[in-house]
Amino acid sequence: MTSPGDATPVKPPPSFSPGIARVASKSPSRYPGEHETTQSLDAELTGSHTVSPPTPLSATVAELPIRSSSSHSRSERSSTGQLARSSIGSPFDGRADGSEDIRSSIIRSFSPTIAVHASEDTDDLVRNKGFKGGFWELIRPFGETVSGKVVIRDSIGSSRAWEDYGVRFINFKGIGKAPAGQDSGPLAQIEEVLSKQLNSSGDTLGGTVRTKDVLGFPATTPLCKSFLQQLLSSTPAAPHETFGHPVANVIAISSRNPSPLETLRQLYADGATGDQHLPTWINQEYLRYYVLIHDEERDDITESTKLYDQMKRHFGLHCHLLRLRSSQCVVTDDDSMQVPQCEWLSPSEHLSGAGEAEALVDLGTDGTPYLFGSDATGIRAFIRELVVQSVIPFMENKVAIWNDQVASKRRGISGKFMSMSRRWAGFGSSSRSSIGGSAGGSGNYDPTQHFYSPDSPEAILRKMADFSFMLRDWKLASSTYDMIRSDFGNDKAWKYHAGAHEMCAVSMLLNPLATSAKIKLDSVDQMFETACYSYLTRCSDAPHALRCLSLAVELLKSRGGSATESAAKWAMRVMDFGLVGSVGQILYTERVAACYASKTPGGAAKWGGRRRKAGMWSMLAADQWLKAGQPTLASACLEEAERLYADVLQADGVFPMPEMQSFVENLRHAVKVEYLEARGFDARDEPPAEDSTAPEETSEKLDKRHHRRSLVGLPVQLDTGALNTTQEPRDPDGPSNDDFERA
Amino acid sequence: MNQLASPCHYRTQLIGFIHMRRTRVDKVNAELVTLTYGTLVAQLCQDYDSNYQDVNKQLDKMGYNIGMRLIEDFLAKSGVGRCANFRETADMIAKVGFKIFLNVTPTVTNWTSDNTQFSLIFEENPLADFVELPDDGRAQDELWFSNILCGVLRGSLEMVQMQIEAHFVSDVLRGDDTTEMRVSLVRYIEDEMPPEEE
Amino acid sequence: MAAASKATSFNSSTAHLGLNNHFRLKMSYYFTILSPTDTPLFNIAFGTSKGGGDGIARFRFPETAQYMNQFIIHSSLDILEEAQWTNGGMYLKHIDTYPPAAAYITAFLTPSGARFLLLHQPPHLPSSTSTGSGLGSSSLLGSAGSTTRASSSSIAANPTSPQTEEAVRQFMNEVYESYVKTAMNPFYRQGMEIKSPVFRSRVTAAGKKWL
Repeated sequence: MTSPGDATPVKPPPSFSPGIARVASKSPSRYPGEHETTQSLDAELTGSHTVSPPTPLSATVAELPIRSSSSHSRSERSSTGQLARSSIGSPFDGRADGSEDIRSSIIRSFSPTIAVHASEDTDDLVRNKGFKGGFWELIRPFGETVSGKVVIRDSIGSSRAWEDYGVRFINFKGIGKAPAGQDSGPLAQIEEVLSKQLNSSGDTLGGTVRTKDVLGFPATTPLCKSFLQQLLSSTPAAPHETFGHPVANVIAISSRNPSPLETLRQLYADGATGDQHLPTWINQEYLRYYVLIHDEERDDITESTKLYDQMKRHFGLHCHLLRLRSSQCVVTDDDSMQVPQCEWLSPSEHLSGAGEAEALVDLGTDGTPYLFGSDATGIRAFIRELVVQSVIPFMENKVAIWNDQVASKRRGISGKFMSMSRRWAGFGSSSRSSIGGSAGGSGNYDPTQHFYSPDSPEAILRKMADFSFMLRDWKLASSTYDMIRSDFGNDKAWKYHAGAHEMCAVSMLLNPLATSAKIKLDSVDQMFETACYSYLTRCSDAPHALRCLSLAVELLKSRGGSATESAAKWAMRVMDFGLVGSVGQILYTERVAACYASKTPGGAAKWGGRRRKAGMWSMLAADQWLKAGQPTLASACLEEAERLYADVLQADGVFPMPEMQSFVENLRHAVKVEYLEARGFDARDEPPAEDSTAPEETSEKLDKRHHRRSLVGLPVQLDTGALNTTQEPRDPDGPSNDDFERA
Repeated sequence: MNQLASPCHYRTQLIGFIHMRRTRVDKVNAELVTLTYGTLVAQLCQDYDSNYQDVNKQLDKMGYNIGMRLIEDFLAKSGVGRCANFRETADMIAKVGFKIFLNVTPTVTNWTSDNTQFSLIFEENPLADFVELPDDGRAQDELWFSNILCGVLRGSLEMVQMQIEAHFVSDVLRGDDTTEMRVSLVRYIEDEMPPEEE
Repeated sequence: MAAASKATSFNSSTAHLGLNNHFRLKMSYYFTILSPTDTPLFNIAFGTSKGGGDGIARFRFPETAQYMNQFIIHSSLDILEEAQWTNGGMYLKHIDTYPPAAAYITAFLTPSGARFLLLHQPPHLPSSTSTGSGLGSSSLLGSAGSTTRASSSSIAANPTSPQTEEAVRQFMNEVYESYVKTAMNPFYRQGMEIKSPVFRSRVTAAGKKWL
């Protein structure tokens, strides 16, 4: 119909979800500057950079920092203003800077874990409010973003304020236990979630799939981001790294409790003894934090205040009085607000969450819980106080102590001596006795149970490194990981070995002070290589290997320059190893393209870019999406590929090589046909008329559905929630349809 | 036919090059000559829209004009006298003429019994180095790439009172085993006015 | 002098082949000449002839090889454009790899800017796994421990080994010689596809002789 050199036959599909304004996509062009983003949630924010005229590249680069930073702060401010959207960093945020976004995601995924241990009466109170999981479920989404700035001091005493700090609340009862009902590995689950998301949201995904960042490179797709978040949330607490170990335990009772102090003691004791005691590889030296929840509707505040004073006398400063209303909030209530979505859900939670949503639909109730604004304010204040006044200082303090007592010894002469002779006076002795004599005499590692005792210097150093990592002191973290990584190899503690190498490389890449010149990419590469080998070959730990490689891909990509080639290499390695399923394969194909696309030509010269490579991988991704029955995504990739190729092909856009050209033409045609068919058009005799009316579309869609395999024809309203993305301002009549999937 | 590029143009070019080859001995790059001739033929093919019969004719005509001039140079430089018979002429052409101008010595063979027709077999042909005929399905059968040589012989011998006819009968460029030119004496010209330049 | 050195290099490479005859894998090759403006002038696919090879290309993914080979070669131009500024020689050696198909690209740059690109692909080994197969496959062991380059199983099949580089150099030089002659053909128009059967047979012969 159109000649191959013309603009893409299929436009990126506009989004039809309610609340998302439809921005008519301009006729797709192959020039980055003219690209109008089809996602439009924050159109006013994105607008400023997406419409940059096709200026010479160098000019655009020069403007880059100013633009991105200003837009960043702007979006930050606006999102904090609107509480409903305060689950920041959602993929649809429209933030221009894709790699910054991913980098922030990665940083936030390694946030301190705080266990929540609530008394029965507390959980009962909260369940009344509509939160089946009890207190933990209530506060969990609020923990993901601590309101306001969080100031952290690093090991040399300089402070830095973070806007996006968060903590991860976990249920105390679930620590160290495999999630129930888990019959497949996390990787298979991720794949399952991805295919569900795909099938439920084919259209919206496509509509919002491409956010271009400032230079017009593909930002992360929502699907890819969802994948990464699940991956980073999927690893349960493990001995070899302490990210899943509780930094603090929040012990909560309510004002309904008849014997509050007794209960608090009981809950405290649960941590050490009893049925629910933590695995022995978890360090017991975590912070205890006591919360009294006052029932505003049934109990007397003076009583509660009295009790609270008593608590403070008994337990010290780490206490909080949280005042909540005990009745359930419904939408129609004054001062009601929607509970923010949990951003960091593990794949199994995604799967079970989806199941719950269906059940709720049957009952005819709304799955999304609502909360009184006053409750939310109280919870936010509580969390902020918990984090800022207790958890962060606790961690800073621990790092300082360990740095002083353990790390300095290890760094000093005796430490070096120790690493050679495998002897350690003082610290090691207790651990050896507690484990009961380690076999092989290789220090503190117990090769039969595969872990170090938590008070061994190795474990403490690892914990110290993890703490400084979570405190975002990547310099100290990387030097600490670096110090211990070979020790683990000597002990043949392979998972520790892998973990230390992985995190050493990651923290080196995250360290903003280490410029690309200083950082030795070779050594980073080598560390990833070693980590991956230890994880995969020595420990058969595919989830960690995938996490390691995915971090490598994203962080190297965000480094830019020659690091992007390493990033692409690791992405290919992920595919080669078969670490991801069929959807994951396509995602990683897209990632390779994105990695190459972010390598820009250096200086005035035209060479040094990887446009052809990026274009090729985008084409391949388009082909694979098409084969996977996702013409919308295929069309987006195809458009991306054409944009990438535009710079390197002759003006007519024809590939010089005949078979390439015919492949691309066939692909274009197939994508167009499938896409239009999926949207209910008969592609064969109707020229692409994108903006035809909606009613016609739906009726035809219904006719076609039975013989279309994919679910792209489903009513589109169903799927906005499936990705756990931003909550848009709702249509007044939307929610009942719209939200049932958000469990 | 002459509404196309004037043959004159091609001719002067070629004479120039062939002269250079002889006078500044061995200084002229052989590839340049080869390429010049090849380009000329290719250009003719293009100008005549791949009508190879016409190209052959044109080459022959150009050769004729070259030959008429070249003979003077040849006689002056070689200092050879009048040949006693046609056989001697043939040897002179092969061993002196071709040697001087193209540095090759074709074999004289296949005489008819009346000594009026012979063949020149070219072991090598500097004009045809690198050449592969167009694969349009016709050039292989119709184009005589080195046809200019026929014209040169015809033109130069006419100047010394011999009317001959020369044509190629095979060419390795066409996939034949040999490159062979057939030369026939038509008659000796007695006291006639030299013909007008074509 | 030149003859002697040529002889030695030939000897060393034949000796090498003899040594590894047992392991020698039948590589598949795809050779392309691109004009300075990326127009393809010539394509040929062939396989190993040495050590009993039948000279027929058997690409790993035959159903996609046709266009994928071109995609891979085209994408390697990104690297070539960079390498031509950092490497002064005509023979640029191995410049690029496309891991999913284990395709290696070796490049040769004529002074006039034509690019000779040779894609070589070792055959599918029983020990190596295809993309997307299960976890913990043996290919992990091969490639994860050391660098990517060492991942190929045998020396002779390793497209980045010095022996291979040398053999490809000889091949490229020979093709270059033929290419110059072809370019001198008055009937060949610069920048047009090379259709000459003579050239094709010369390239085939060079492939037989060196690869």
